[in-house]
Amino acid sequence: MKLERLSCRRRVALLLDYLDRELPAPERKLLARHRASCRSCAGLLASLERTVRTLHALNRAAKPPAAARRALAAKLRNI
Amino acid sequence: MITERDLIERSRSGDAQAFSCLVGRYEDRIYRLAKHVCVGLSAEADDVYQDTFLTAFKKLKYFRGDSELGTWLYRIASNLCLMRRRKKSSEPFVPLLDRPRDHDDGEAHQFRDWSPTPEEAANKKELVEKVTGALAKLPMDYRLVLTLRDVEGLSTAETAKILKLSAAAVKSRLHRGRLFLRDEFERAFGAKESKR
Repeated sequence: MKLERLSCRRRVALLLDYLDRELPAPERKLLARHRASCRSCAGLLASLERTVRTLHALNRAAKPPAAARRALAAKLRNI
Repeated sequence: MITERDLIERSRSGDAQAFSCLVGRYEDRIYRLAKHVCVGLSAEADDVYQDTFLTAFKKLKYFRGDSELGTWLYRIASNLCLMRRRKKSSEPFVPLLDRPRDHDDGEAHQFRDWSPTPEEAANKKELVEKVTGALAKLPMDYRLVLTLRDVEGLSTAETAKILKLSAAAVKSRLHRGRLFLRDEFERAFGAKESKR
């Protein structure tokens, strides 16, 4: 498969699956090679990787407020 | 040691204490989802958190176990968020999301390095506020997909199952949402390529 021959839309779809690690190993290797030689795709992937990494900052311990926990416990007791 | 299956079985027969153990295992994840999807309205997040577990306790007899309990709880919470949105008339309108941007940004976009600085990353409260603020500018459909995929770390298939969407629809919203957030983060964290 030659990435350069694919339509823009299909190529981006493959890049996104690559970004999300949802490509089979052979295609993943192909994309990794393409990334090393294509400035445009490398730039897009790097910017999206930064976006995902930054968004992941929200994955922190998020305890429900004590009042909400108490309210839930009381409602469960009364069911 | 009591397994999750045991706790589910006991909860099905009305054992509230067993169900409390299940709540303890999943409440952080469910609250985090509610908080990011109902962003800016803490009372809504609290309500979604409580209603998710109350609904689950009442409907546990219908849980067939063909998916993870966590996936089932995410589905209940997502549906509750969507139901609350339907009751409200206003949603952020983001015109860029209506345009077919799926295949742009190849040559056109200037790829600046806007990553949070080590100082910004260390000041997590401020970082989280900026990221939450950017997420809040998106419609709920997009916030749900981005939160499940990129915050909670679920796969495309799991996200599609929870939201009852096709994998293609999940990927489309994910990509458009990420492009939107990338531009927002770029503005929030500034272009720093000249300093590096």
